[in-house]
Amino acid sequence: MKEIFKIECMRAFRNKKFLLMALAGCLIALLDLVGTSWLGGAIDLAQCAEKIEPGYTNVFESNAVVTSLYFWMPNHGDVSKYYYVYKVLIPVMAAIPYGSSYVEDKRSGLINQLILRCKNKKDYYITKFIVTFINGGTIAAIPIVASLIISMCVAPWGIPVYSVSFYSVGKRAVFAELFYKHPELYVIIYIIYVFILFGLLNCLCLTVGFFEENKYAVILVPFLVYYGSSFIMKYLFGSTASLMTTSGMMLLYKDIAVYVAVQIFIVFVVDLLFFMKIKKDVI
Amino acid sequence: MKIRKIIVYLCVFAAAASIFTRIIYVNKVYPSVKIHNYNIGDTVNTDEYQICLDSVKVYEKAEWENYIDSTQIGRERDSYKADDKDAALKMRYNPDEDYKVIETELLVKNISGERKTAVMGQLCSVNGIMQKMMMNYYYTRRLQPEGKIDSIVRTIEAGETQKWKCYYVVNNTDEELFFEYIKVGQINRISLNLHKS
Repeated sequence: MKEIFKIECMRAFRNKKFLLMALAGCLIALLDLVGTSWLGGAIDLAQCAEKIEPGYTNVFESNAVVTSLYFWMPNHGDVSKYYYVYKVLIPVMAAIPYGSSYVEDKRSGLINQLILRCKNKKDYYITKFIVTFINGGTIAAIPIVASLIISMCVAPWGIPVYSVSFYSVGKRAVFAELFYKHPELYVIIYIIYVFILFGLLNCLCLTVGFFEENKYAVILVPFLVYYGSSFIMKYLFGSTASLMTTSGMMLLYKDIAVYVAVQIFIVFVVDLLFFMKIKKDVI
Repeated sequence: MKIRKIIVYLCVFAAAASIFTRIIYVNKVYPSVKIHNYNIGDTVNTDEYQICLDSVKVYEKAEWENYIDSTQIGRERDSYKADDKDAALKMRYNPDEDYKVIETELLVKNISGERKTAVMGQLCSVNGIMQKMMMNYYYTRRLQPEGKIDSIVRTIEAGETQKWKCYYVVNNTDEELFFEYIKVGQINRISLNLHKS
């Protein structure tokens, strides 16, 4: 299992597609700051740092004090076109490097050689599942982490203050109090949430691999499920319950968290169907 | 091939080191976002003012209504017409539900050396971790130590100390509330400890 895991990790993470998607994610994070009005805020803050002296009061023409979380991409929500692009494209971006690898293995016959290296057939499937999950989660988490690093380069870290109204975490949001009391924990949970959500969505590629052998179609499946949930959830409970809206945890509200959890659970169950079909697979 | 690898590693290391240095620089030089906690009665020194939260009194709904009825100013709701559509916006709390009134007594001293104009309720306010409260203009204007004032914009002469009473009405007080004074590089908080009393 160790050997096959190593091989699959190398295939998943040491390829040009992964590097390209990671760089694209970083570019989105950079553009979110540089290409929008938030850059003006960062410059204002930098000028303030130079001019800070008794009587100097203006940051964004108010008395507010900003932390790096103000510049963090998820805090901008759909107001930022770059964050919106991230939100829409990330399931496809996450699937591009490794999502179609199972289908490709099957088509090329490589699957036989890889299974021969394992003690049993199951090891290959378990490894495939874990690596696909980690790969998808990593691609999705990279822009969020990159944005955090970029924002920490323009503003100091600190506890956000609700009363300045600079942060999009409202009373309804899950872990809202944690955001205003222990932002570092909130950020960790946020990244884990994004990692798990897109990791699980990426694993849908494996399940679909049984029915569809076109790798482009397989890569699009997580996006279709993700985007499709927007329409279904909008019809049933309002747009706030869709996976796309709540992929930014700041918009995951307490009252709709159950619906989102159910959707994630369904995705997880569909992912597990990958293992149910092991016996029926080609080998 | 080996040289290429080394160059790549060096570039990555240089980028990481510069980012790390930048983060340290920003956290040292940029306006502080640290929260300073004070107690009731402490004096907070700022560039322009010396602010002291002298006392805090919390009235329950019934207690407050009795107090207001004993004065001649009248209840806030009664001052609006029954069909006033903006009444809810003006009041910012539901008088039919249970509410609390927080009375803060401040001593504000102008230490800037020049005449200053300050807006009550903007200079400092009562907030919660997840709550931004607005000062109640109706009661604040009518219940000042010197009597009714026309405007919440106050002029303070250099060196002068003024005593202000600011009123906040809130329906839900599950949260811990604090008196907050925010300025660039300074976040000053005084816990009001409403739940302990």
